[in-house]
Amino acid sequence: MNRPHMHALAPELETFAAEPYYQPVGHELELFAAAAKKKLPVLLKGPTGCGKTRFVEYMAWKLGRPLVTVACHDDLTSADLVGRYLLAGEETVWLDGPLTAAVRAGAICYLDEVVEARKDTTVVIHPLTDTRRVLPVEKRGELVRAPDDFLLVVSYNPGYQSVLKELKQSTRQRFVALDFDYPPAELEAAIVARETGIDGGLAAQLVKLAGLTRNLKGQGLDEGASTRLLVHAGHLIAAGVAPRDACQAAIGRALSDDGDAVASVDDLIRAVF
Amino acid sequence: MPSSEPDRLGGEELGARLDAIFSFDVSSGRSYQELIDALAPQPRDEQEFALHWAQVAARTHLEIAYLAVLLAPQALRRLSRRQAEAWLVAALEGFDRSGLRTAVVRLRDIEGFARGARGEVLALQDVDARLGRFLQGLSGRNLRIAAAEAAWTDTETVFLPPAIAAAGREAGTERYKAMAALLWAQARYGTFNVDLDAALPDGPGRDAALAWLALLEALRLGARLGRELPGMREELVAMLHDLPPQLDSARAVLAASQAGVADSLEWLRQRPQLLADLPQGCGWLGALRPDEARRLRDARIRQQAEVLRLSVAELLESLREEKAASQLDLEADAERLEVKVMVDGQELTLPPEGLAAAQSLIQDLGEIPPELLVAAGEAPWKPADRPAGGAGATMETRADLLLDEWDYRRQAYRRGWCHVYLHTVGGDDLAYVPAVRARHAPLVRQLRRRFEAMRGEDRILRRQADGPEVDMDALVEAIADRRGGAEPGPRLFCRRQRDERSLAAAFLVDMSGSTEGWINDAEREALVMLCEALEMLDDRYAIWGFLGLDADALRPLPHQGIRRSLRRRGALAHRRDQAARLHAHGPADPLPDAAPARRTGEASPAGQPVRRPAGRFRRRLPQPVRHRGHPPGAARSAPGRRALLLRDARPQRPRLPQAHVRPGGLLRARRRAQAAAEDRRHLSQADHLTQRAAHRAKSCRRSGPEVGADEALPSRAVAQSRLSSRRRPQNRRRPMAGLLGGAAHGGIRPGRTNQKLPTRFRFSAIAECRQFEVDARIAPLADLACPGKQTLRNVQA
Repeated sequence: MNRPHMHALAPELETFAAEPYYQPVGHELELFAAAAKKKLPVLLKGPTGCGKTRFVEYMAWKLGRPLVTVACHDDLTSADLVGRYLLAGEETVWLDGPLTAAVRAGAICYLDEVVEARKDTTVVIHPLTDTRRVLPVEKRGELVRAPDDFLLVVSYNPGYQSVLKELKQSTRQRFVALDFDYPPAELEAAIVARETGIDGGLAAQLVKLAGLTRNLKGQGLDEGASTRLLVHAGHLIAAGVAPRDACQAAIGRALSDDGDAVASVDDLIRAVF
Repeated sequence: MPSSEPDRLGGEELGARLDAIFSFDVSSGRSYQELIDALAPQPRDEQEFALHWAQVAARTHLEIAYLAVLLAPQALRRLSRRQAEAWLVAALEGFDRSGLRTAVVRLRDIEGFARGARGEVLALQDVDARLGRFLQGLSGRNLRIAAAEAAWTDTETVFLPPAIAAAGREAGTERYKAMAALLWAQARYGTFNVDLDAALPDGPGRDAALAWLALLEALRLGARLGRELPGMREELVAMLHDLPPQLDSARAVLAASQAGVADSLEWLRQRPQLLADLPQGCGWLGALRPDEARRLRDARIRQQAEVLRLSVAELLESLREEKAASQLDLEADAERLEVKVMVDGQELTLPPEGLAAAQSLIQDLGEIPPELLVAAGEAPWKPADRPAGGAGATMETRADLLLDEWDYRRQAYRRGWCHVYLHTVGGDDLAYVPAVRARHAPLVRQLRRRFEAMRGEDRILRRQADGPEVDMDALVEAIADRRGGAEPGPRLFCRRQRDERSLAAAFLVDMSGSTEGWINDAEREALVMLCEALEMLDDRYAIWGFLGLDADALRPLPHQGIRRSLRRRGALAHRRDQAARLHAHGPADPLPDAAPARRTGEASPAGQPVRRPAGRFRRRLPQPVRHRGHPPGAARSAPGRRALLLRDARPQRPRLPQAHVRPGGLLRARRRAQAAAEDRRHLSQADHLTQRAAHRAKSCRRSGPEVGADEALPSRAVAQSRLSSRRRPQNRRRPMAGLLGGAAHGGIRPGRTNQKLPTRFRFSAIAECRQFEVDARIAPLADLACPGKQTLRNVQA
């Protein structure tokens, strides 16, 4: 039966024709490629905005596999991942969830911020992450076997996660873990300059500011300025906004709502620019 | 003096009121008449203002109270009422921080305060918290800000003038930031990296040499900061503009990017004629005190070196489990404070404390000496061996947390008044928890059943617009509606919803001496059972013990007045009583946190005292307890955060030294109590004083001196005294009921804050975890069988 409206609901498999920009910092490319070759699921740990998602996109392009990204959240259910029956006219039709679609297509399935999902939801990935590599679809009584190209990648930020959202050991110990952090200053400045088009000196100043704000972690800030925020500030500067204003909008106000913390970041911004 | 207005207090009435405040303790050379003459012509409200603040100040120092009365009329002519309150609070804060001299200077400088209120002068205390965060951002180190007549740094504290003239608050803040940055740069960019004692001449020219070197270093560091922090360049140039003309030739030399302290010394060495005179008028650029700086710097380097060596050892040990590591290299980028550890060509990450130590060493030494890469064995000092805090805490010991504490009499915060020391207690009595479980098995079962009922169950929400399953009932209805010609409903799905609990509970356990004995047993048993219940609910919880330090934990100090006051106990016990009072009025009430500006010590722009509208009970919670959400690791993300205080309701019995129990003492206390009781606003003071009188009476009766009997005291005081000294373990068989009931109905007495000594609390992280094995983690509690001071000291040792 042809149901174009149902087709529109199917999860999208993203493919990358052009190479996403990613600047390697260590041996993460080799490690990821080796894990993919050996069909080992990968866990990416690192602070927000340090390049985890971009890295997965880059690896999907490099390995030539489609990518399915799921942003995990509190209300994510296992049915949201696996699939569900929908009503079409007077009958029900099955719609694969993003995880099932990725398994069938041999894609990379990237569960972003996996700890945000409830634990009973994340348990559904367990059979996919050991030697079985299968996905049980209980409602259909189906066992979907993952092809060799299928790869599960999850990420989370150990910095601000609460203990309530800690990754269970039974889940954690199924992955090859890669640590991510902000790149060294020189490299980070090159990334900011490349992403935003601002000159290297200005990018270096932004990175300097980021370093100062990272010193305030735990002193009013939960996290310092991420590379992503620097890129945002760089874009504003490239669009003609004064550096101080750009940094206050893209970094100071984005980091915290607390008046004292914002004032502290503003002081640092005024010192650097 | 006769009063011209009927409402105005006359000389006789003023004398009586002043007598109630000052008793007979007015310093020699002072008399009531001077105060009466100053107050008598004033309107009644100004008289009341002066008398009220005299009463507040008298609890801190009688001299301040005297001056407050004397100068209040003059201050009220120059300042608004709120500004006058701020002027008095500033003086009291000056006493808290620096002693009587500062307080007197501030009181007498009414004109200076008026200029500050108009924004012409910026006080350091208004921006010190902001400056501290600024320096933390620059250095990554937690540097303290303190007031001093001259600007200088010992590399751990940046001393700045207590106030500076400025064209406005922002301009003053920028000037303070530039001054602080210059002083920070002395430690960061190598001023103390050479032996200044050897480099500078001895003898009469030494002071001048240090002063000239300070200016040269200001030039060098100003240029360096201008390059590193271009946003500060303008302010730094303005600061360095008016240097003596003899330094003009040094500007270009020291502005070079490679210039170091050796260049400053060399420039000075070539101009010995400068040492004949001190440079004038540049004190705000910062003085050099190399002896003080070297002492702290050397101690810090020793500590950080040991930390780094231990971290290296830890790293190598972890590698040995896999393979034998042979070559370890460490690359340090002194400019960016980046550290790379390479082991056999593989880049590894140091543990966080090792990385921080390496960065600290780079700041102090400019590099990491290769000998530090030799792994440590059993080093004599470990990061966990914190010299600060614990039973050995002294007034000189640096507290882990300095918290502002609300003083309801001043209606203002006492900045940094509450000293909190964090330390971890150990213990290995693993049999304790099973024993408690066995002893209270029926109660544990009952608790588990009750808490199980609170667990969230899956709920099926039917007739939803979206969901993982089809709601068959809704679907049948929809199909029927459609076939019947009616419009079918759109809600055809159902979803399963589990209401997850998001609660974080912090147990704050009183470990004071007053809990010794059955109370402590009950506390620990209650804690074990409550944790059992929380485990059932899968809730997060943390257990903290707190203990107020008293004179026994402090070394005698040279200041005689402080030493005397150290002997006075009871203030901390009193705070705990007040905490229980709050608890009794609603443990589930969200514990009050100060507004952000107040928490961090920022004053309002006009320099007004910050007022807190909360009620009396809220502000009576001990500050460390109120601060329970901020200790490291405290769960901040849970929407439902609760703190549960486990403590006894029995006030700690004051131990008045025999020397303090004099026959006149009771009479004075009783007189002051009765005088204070005449004013309904001061009932709490009366209560406290009468209790003290009662305790003195009892102490004296035991020891023999002739004093009045209890019956002569107000009956309420006697009753409270008896209640507070009674011990009734009637709830021993039911620990939870006993604790919570005791806290709610026990003898609570109002009282006063200790006006002379900072509040000192010790927080012990006993356990901070969730879903742990109760047996293993709760065990440390068992080591606190008698959590009196002596026992704690032993635990820490």
